[in-house]
Amino acid sequence: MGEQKNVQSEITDFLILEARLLDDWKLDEWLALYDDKAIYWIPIDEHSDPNISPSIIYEKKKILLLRVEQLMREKRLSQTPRSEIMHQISNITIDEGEHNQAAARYSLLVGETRSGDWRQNGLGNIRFFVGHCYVKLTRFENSWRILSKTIVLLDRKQPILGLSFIL
Amino acid sequence: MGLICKPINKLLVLSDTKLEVHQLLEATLFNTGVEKGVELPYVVESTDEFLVSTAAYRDSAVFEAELANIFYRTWIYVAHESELNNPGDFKSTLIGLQPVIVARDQNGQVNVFLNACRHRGSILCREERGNTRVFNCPYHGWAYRPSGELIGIPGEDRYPPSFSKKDHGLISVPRVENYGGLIFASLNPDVQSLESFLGRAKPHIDYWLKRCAGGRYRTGTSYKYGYDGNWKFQAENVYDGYHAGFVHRSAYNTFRKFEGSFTGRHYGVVRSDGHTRGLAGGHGTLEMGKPLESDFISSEAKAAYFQKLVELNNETDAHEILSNRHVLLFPNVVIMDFNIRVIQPLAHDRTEVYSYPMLIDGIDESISYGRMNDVQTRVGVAGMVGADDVDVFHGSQSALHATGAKWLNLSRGLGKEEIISDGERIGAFSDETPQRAFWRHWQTVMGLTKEGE
Repeated sequence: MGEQKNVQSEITDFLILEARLLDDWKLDEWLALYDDKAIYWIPIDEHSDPNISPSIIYEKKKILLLRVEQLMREKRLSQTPRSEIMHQISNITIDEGEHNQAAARYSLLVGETRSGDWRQNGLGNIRFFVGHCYVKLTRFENSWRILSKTIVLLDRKQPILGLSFIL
Repeated sequence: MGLICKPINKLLVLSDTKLEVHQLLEATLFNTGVEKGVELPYVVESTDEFLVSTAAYRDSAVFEAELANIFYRTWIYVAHESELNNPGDFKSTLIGLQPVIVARDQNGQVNVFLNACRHRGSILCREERGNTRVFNCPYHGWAYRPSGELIGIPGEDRYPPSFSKKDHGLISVPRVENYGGLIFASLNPDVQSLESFLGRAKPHIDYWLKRCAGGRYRTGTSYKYGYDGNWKFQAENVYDGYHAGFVHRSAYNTFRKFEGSFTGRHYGVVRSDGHTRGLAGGHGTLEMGKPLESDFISSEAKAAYFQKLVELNNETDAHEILSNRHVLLFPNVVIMDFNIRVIQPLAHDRTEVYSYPMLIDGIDESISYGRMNDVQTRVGVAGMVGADDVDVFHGSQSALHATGAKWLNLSRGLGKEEIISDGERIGAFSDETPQRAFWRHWQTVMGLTKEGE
C-alpha cells in the first residue's frame, strides 16, 4: 500500500518534472526523459493508425532530436522571439501495470505567448493548447522513462497555429 | 447569375498616363492619400521594374473584388475524386466564402451545391465530410438527395398548389469538371473548359499523375493551419525559391547535422539549380530540377519504384516524373511533391491552409507512407520547415499598416528570363517569375487592364 502510493507520487512528480523542463526550455534534459524507442504522438484522429494516417506529430525519439536541436542550437525564425510557455497538468490518474510499467492520463492546459513587439500579428496574446494526455512509462534506474506520449488536443481537427515549440 | 466586373480602380496603362512611372512613384511614395486626380494602379510593370501595391493585400475592398472577379468567376478546386469514392460521400468546402457541399450521388456523378436550405436558409450540413443517402435540414426536416434534388417536405399540404419541389432543389454550382482526379467547380456558367483553363500547367499535372506508376492517388486527411494574413502571401510563397535559405536556415542546418534525415532538403543561401516558370492564366511553378525523395523509404523500395516508372514510361520521362515541382493553379491550389495545398481565404486578413498528403494505392505502400511522414515533419501542422513561413506571413500582414510604404518590388529576374511562346517565361530558381505571372493575370481578371493577356 505504501509502495503503491510511492509509485503514484513518483510518477506524478515525474510528470510535473517533464512539464517543468518544457516550460524552462531545458529541452535536452526533457528528451532524456524519453526511452530510446519512445513515440511522441499528437493525433488528428486518435483512433487512426498513425503509421498510415496523418497526424499533427507522430515521431520517434530520433526525429525529436532534430526538433530539439533546431530549437536549442539554431535560431528559428518562428521562435525569434521565443515562446513563453506554461504547462498545467491536472486530473492525473495513474495505473500501474506489470513488468515495471505504468500508464498515466491527465488533463493538459498549455499557455503560450511570444512578446517582442507584441502588437504585431503572431505575437502578443496568450494562445492556449488544451487536451488529454496519455503517457506510458517504464522504470529506468531509480526513476522512470516515457515509452509513449499522446496528446489529444480538443481542436485537433481544426486549423492550428503556432506549433513551432515543443508542446 | 450575371456578376458584374467593375474595376475598382482604374489602372493607368503606361502609354496613357500623363506621368512617367518614376514621377508617379515619387509622388505617392510617402503620401498616405490618393493624389488628386490620379488613381493609383495596383500593379506597375515596365521593362526593368515590376511593382505591386500594398493596397492589393491590405484593402478589404480589394478582397471583395477578388471574391467577385476571381473566386466566383473562375475554376476553384473543391475535392480530389478519392475523397468521394462511394455514392453518398460528401465533403463541405468553400468557393470563395460560399459554403458548398461536394457530393457523389447515387448515379456516381459529383455534384456541387450551396450549403443552404431553400426554405429558410438554414445551413444544411455541419460536418466536414461523411456519407449520407439524404441531407435532412436540421431546422424543419426538408430532405435533399446528394444530387441536390428536394424529395421531402414534412407537412407539404400547407403549401399552395403552385408550389413544386422540383423548383426548390439546392442551388447547384453550375460547372463541375475533373482533370486527372482533381475536381474543380465554378460559379460562372460561361467559364472556359477546365482543360483550357489549365493550359500550360497541364504537362506539370500530367507528370504528377504519372507518379502513380499504374496506381491511383488517395487523399489523406489534411494538415490544417491558419494565419492572420492575406491569402496572397501564402500563394506567393509556394513557388518562392529565394526565401528558403533564410527563412528555413534553422531547419536546413539541423537536417545537415543529422545525415539521412532529410537528404537534399536543404539549400545553400540562394539556390541556383532548378528554375521557375510563369504561365499564361496566372499559373506558375517552382521546379527543383531533380527528385527529392523521402528518407523514410528504403533504397530497395525507391529503386523498384523508379524501375516501374521506367517500364511504364522511359528513363528520361521517369526522371522528369520524379523531379520535384510546386505548381500553383490560379488562384489558390498548389500541387506539390507529396501533397496538395488549398489556400482558403476567410477574410482579407485571415487565411487557412489545408495540405492533403497524396497517397498512392496500387504500388508499394512504403512509398506513400514514407512520403507522408516526410511531409508531416517538414511542412505539416507542426512542420520544422513550414511553421517559419507562417511567421513571415504574420509579419508581412503587420507591415501592411505602414501605408506609406506603397510598393512591393517583384522585379527579381525581370529582363533575364527566357520567354517562350504562349506567354510562358522561365526564370532562375530564385526569380519572381511565377509571382509576376500571378499578378499579370490578377490584373486581367480584376478588370484592371485594357487588353487581356
